[in-house]
Amino acid sequence: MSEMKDFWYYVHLPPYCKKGIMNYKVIRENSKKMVKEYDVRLSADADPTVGCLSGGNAQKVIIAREFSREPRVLLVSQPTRGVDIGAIEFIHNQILAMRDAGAAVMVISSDLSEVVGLSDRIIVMYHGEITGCFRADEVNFSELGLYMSGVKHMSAEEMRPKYAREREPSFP
Amino acid sequence: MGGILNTLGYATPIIITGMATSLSLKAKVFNMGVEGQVFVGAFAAALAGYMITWLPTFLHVTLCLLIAAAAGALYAFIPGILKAKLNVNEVVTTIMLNSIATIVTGFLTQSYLGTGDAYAHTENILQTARLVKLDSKYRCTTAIFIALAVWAFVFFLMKKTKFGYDINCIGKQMEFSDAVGMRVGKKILWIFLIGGSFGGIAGATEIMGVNYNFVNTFSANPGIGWDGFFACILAGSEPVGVLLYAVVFGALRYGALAAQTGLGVPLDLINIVKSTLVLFMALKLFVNHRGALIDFFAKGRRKADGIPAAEGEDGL
Repeated sequence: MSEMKDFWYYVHLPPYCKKGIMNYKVIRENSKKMVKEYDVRLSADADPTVGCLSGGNAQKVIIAREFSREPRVLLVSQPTRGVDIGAIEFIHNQILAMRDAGAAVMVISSDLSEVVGLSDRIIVMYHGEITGCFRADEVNFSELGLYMSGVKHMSAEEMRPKYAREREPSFP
Repeated sequence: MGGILNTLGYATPIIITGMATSLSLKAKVFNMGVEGQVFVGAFAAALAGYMITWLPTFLHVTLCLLIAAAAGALYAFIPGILKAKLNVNEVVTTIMLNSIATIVTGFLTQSYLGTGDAYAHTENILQTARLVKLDSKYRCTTAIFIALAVWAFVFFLMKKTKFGYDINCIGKQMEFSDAVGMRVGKKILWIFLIGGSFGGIAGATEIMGVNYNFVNTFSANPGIGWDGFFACILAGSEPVGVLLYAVVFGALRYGALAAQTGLGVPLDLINIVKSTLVLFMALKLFVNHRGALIDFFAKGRRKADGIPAAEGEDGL
């Protein structure tokens, strides 16, 4: 499987690559920095290939790869499926940090507690249609379940006030 | 000293074809057409060698090499564009084109462009197009420097440039590379073009250094393109390994001749040794994918257990 450095696909940008020549020293330093910053657990004597990491740590590598770019829009799909508890906590904190930095974050998940715990607004879809839109503090699991199974359906007028922006984006 | 020079002389074209193949195998693009590109390049160099009469030595040699490289690249363009645009299986196209190249050049040598001699060959190339032998008794020519320059160039390309990095990523997972915006089609085309041009250069060095004309048996058994391919597989497409294996194959080839004349050992024994090496290498790849072995013997009984295939470096 690929080494750490092979995951940084944006390495064609400086400082990793100048005029077509790769600067592997900078790439490796950046990898080490990411590993420390995003709490990827490597064992000291094993080789640092991503294929030898546990599921949670591999997921943290991907989180590191995407979040370190400081994106303005983030689509996160099933971020913690198959991941251990400590890593789940860490990934959730990272997602919230992205939100606090002003990025637009959309989390797609089938884990209800994750959706309710992380989100500011929750959107439920059924058969390809948006059937409900809630603020996170005004809904419980059984209510969500009814919308998820298509029993209840919100009309467009009911959903409109929930789409209002909660905070203004804070980009420079 | 003579033995070393002869070994290097046999190894020279293998270094070049080995590096051409390693560039493509690193991207998991199976360009097996190096043998055909060698023939096309050699034929073009042989023709340019005697048809162009007005150039001094240095320019004539360079021009012949460039013509051979262009011919090889043109010949490699066909499977390259088919693979890049239409995803035609490059193994099939390149192997078929090998046969076409070998037979067509042989036919042309026998009929239109040959002399009338007993064994079909083109006109001898002019003195200005010949590569100087380092020591006139032995086989090594200045082509060894050309080979080392090609090796250094491909080494630099694969290890230090963004192009080499992209090729590495394409080899490891083509879908990911495509999704993040590496132009996979363009890179595959470039791989074929570069590999083809180096194949042409390898053929040209054989013609200009050793034979001085084109015969259709100059690429002895199994062929300098195939020797390069074997060296590349055994070395796992790593440049340093390709260099070492090319020299080893050169030594084997020369040693086989000496063994045949001195000890009466048949020449084909060398092919048996090489083929056994490649067979053991294939076993290593087979062992790395243990899942295939389990599935084969268990006939799906164990698929329910969900035993995953072993991850590991392919080595290609």
